[in-house]
Amino acid sequence: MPAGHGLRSRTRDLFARPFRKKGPTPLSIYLRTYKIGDYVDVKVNGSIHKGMPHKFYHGRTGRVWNVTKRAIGVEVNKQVGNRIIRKRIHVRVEHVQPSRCHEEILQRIKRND
Amino acid sequence: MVFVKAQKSKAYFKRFQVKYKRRREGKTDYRARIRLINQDKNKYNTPKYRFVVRFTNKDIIAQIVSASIAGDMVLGAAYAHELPHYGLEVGLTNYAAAYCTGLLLARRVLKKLEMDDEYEGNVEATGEDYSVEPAESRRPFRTLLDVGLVRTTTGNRVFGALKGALDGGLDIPHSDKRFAGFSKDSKQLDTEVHRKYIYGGHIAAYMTTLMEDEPEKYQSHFSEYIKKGLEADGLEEMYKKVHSVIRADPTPKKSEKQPPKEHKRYNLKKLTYEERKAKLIERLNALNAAAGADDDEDDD
Repeated sequence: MPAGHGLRSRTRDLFARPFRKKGPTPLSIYLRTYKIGDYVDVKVNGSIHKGMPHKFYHGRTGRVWNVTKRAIGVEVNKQVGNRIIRKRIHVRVEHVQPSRCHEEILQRIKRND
Repeated sequence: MVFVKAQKSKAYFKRFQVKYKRRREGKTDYRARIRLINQDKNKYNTPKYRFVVRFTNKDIIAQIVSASIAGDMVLGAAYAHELPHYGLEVGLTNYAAAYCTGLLLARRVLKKLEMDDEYEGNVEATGEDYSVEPAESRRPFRTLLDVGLVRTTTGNRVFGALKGALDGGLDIPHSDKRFAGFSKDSKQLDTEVHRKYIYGGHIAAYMTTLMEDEPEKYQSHFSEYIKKGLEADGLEEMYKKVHSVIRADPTPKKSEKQPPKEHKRYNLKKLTYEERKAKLIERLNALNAAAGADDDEDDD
């Protein structure tokens, strides 16, 4: 029978936890705060099943546009056909890391002040 | 058979994933900890306080803690070994002492935050369920109970400490299901029984039964009580006094500690980098000098 194109299809390795890092997630993930306008990387944590983004967004970086109780709204660029759409997704905090893409600019601002 | 093939190969160890350190020590329940620490993201940096109660064999530790990435920050702490300052000498790990410790911590923290006048809490400890009402200016101090790895049965001492903190004026979400004196059949808290436990009534009852039935066991079991001259009837009075002394002045007493005395060193002290280099130069000089002397001898 054919392969199927479900939501998590072809994610066997993508969503797998790294070697010897399975099991409970470190607590610092839950203690980080995110403000609107921060840049974040989306990286799926396969052991947390709620609030997972679609596999397309794994590895994308976007800006925070919304903060809710347990999740963050991230605005990510996606190319659809001949244009790029700014897509707004909601992702739980376990699947999000603060991005260092903006870090150098922020440090320069601090130095110049 | 005596020799068995080695069970754990090198490959086993290479693939072995250790649990978190505190899980290996059996001290932290991470599943519970995640749920206690997790703060709503739309509350940003607002701290979420846990009312941590832990029992050792001879002590009770009660702390108000908030979590941060650098480590947990303790806002205030109270120990059962401080209770002698407030007049409680013996029975430092029973239900009544847990109540006193919870009460002490609550009053201490409220005094630190300057909320102790607004939130008196329940001054006269009856056993009934008491929750803090919000006062005019500030909302009550909210914290969540963290029992740790204790099995939460009805009448457990952690709930004694919880009751102490509640009567002290903290806002802790709870139900009366696990207080001592809750009966499963009637699904109600018997406040008389709970009050008995808060004032050590269960200990007083045991003391009287032992005195009548087995005097020798009474002498051995309650020897400290006898030494301090505590009778079964006087326990309630004593606890009432302790509660009032705690409410009068909950600030911690600083004890005078001498600096620790120097111990004899049993192993060599590690040398610094400069000391090791200096030693090497000395050794080389000595070697060269000796070699020079040998050469002179050989020449001669």
